[in-house]
Amino acid sequence: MNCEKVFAWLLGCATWDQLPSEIWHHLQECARCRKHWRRLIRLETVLATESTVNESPALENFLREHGFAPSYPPAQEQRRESATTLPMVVQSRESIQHGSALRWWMASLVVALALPLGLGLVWWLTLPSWDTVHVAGAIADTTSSANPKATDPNQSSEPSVTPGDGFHASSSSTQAQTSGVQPMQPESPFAHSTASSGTFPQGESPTPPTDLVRFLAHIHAEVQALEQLLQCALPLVWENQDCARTNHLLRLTLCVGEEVLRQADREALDTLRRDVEWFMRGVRLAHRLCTSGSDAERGLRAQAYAHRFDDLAERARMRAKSRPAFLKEGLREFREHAEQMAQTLRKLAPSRSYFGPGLQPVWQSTYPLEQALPDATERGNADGSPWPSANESAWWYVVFLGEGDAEIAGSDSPAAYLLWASIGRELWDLTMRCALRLAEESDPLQRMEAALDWAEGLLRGVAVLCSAGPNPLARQLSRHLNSLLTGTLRTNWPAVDRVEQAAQTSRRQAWQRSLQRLEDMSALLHVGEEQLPAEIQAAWRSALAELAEGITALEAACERGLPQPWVPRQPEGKPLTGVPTDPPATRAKPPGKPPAEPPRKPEKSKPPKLPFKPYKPFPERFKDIKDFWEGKKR
Amino acid sequence: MERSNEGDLLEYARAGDREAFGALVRHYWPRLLRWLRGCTGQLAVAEDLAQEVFLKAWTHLPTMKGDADHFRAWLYRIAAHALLDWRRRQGAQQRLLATWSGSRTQADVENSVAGKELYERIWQAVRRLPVEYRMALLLRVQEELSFREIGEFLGIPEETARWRVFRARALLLRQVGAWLDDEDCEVAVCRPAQQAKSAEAKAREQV
Repeated sequence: MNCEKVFAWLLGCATWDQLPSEIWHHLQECARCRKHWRRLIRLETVLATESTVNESPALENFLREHGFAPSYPPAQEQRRESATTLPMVVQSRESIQHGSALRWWMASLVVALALPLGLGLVWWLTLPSWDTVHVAGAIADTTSSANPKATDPNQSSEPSVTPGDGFHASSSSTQAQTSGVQPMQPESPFAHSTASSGTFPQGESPTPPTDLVRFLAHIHAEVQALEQLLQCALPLVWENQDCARTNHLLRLTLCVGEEVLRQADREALDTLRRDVEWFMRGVRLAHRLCTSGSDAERGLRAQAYAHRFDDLAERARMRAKSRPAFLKEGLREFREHAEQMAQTLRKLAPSRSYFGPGLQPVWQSTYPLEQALPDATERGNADGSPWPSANESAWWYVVFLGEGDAEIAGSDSPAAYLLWASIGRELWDLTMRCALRLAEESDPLQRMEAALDWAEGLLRGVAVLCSAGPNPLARQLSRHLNSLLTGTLRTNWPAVDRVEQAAQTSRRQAWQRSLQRLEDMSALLHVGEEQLPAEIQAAWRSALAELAEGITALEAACERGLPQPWVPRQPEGKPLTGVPTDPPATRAKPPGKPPAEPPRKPEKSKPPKLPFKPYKPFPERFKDIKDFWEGKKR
Repeated sequence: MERSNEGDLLEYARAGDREAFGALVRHYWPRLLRWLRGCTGQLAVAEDLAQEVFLKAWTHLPTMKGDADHFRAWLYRIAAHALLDWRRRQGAQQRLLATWSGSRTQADVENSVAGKELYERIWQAVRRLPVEYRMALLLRVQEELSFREIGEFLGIPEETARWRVFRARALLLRQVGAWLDDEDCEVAVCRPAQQAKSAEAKAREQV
């Protein structure tokens, strides 16, 4: 018997306890087959040692829920309720066993005998006279009308009341009344906060918040996080200097780092991993930009961020100690990259600080929204408070620490918050992807494409949010889109393309594609309201109101057309070479006698020419938005 | 549980006695759950499937043919169908995630006789097997069923069951074979070999 046959026999046999003699002899002689055999035995030993799950709460729940558990008093009601949900095929069978049938028959016999006896006894005891019966009935009527609980349909409709609960409830209320203390009345879910003396609820445990409040608070925190990210990322759109872009990139990375720590507080592993990934990409890019550039000030300006990255690393270390183990790996990676970035920044400028008197912060005059400057001296608030990252953007702050009578963010438009929950993560990823590309690129064409990707994504986000009716989230996103459009068209849509390969066909085609995208976007923003679903119109109008500047810039860019290749000025007397033919405005006029001017006609006041028809149909590029609004695509 | 007792419980359960069926559930739950957990790789999914299996069993118990000897095979056949339905419902991506995420607790890993790393590798390799192979292999290894019984449990011919176990073993050896070469296993391996040797010696003496 050869090795191949033995191996096949070993793989296909049922048990190895009784080996045939041929196999046994071969195994004694052949070390290779013995090795295979040993591997197989070990493999199956490992698989067989998988322990059974003897104490499973799911088993007990299953038995209790479906009435398969042995009968005992507290489970009777539950069994009876859940049993009705099961198919009754088995129960309706007539072949009931004798034991259970006898038991039921005897029980019904006892009930049948006891019921007439009891009724007769009651009738005999309450018989004395018709007058007494009448008066007793009247008293019973007045008592029941005076007691509101007796007339409560909910109370009367209950088939049975748990004795213990009823007894305790009545005795406690009686005790409260006799001692002069008013019994607690049912109040609104936030009644606890009005009763408390301070800002935070004190004394007894507060009413647990509803799921909607938690949900809204969580989404509100997500909205705030994206808001901060956009504030850090948008300056990258219109910042042309590499040095300044590096600073913005560092701020953006710090913002993502704060988000990582926030997700660690939430113990959301998936989101934390994703944010750590973005953080690492940001750090790598910042590291490359800081070390490869020739700008001497770049390191100096970035030096102040070293403390901030140190701070992030320290806080990550603290969280790794206090948070569950499954977060540790992500936090470790995060901490290592933060430390590495801090080290790089420290090496770049060991002596000077960015916050010296002669240097102005680069971001101060760029983005109109309020921004906080990084503080080089503050080491964070990790040790200062019992909740390290306690601020109003934390979801649990709103739920557990916020003032109870304060208005809950998003309570007026929960549908918009729900929609945000479905697109918030995509907006975050889109923002990071485009921002990193913008930080890296210097070519206006590439920057324009990245900005257009970003703008189209934000526009789709606005469109999705508008389907929830007029809401602040859609307007907020529109404001950022407005900044993005105006910024990128002002900076990255030049009249003259000064890049060396500006006259190349491929580059011209790329610019043409960008122009087409701008026109499509402009057409979408000018779609007539009658083409929109009725429930969208008001929200879309209010969102467009926030986009006024952006739309104007868009119209101007479309009217101006493609950026023209830059033509260097030639010395006189030499013919121009390599001049592209497509821009007629820049073509040199041949020398000669100027033609006679035609007689001027009286100018009529023409309306300004629009680059598009005022009511275009939906552009094909944004057809998904129309489908979404019309409910075809959800 | 004795056979006669199981038969009585089954008869009571067929007649509509829920407590009797509960006793059967309690008896079969751990093994069925272990098998489902091995096949799905996720305890939560296995628990859901086990509940689904027992509810189906309760619903169709009156239509079950055969006696208590067939009940176990019938139950596992329902479980196999539920497992295949679950797998069909799962997308390819989710299957991949389930394959790699795993659901074993730390205690499971630490309490196993094999090393943690080997244990994890073997189970990862098992989860990468086609589910049909996985079902047959785990029935053979964990439940110690014969090929005929495996075929009966899964509703396939005996030879098909044998082929699936054969393929599963071969695939597993190809994937984790190098990890199974450990000196510690010599003792475990030598024991059946010595038994076989002694049996052979006895046979020679008789001859």
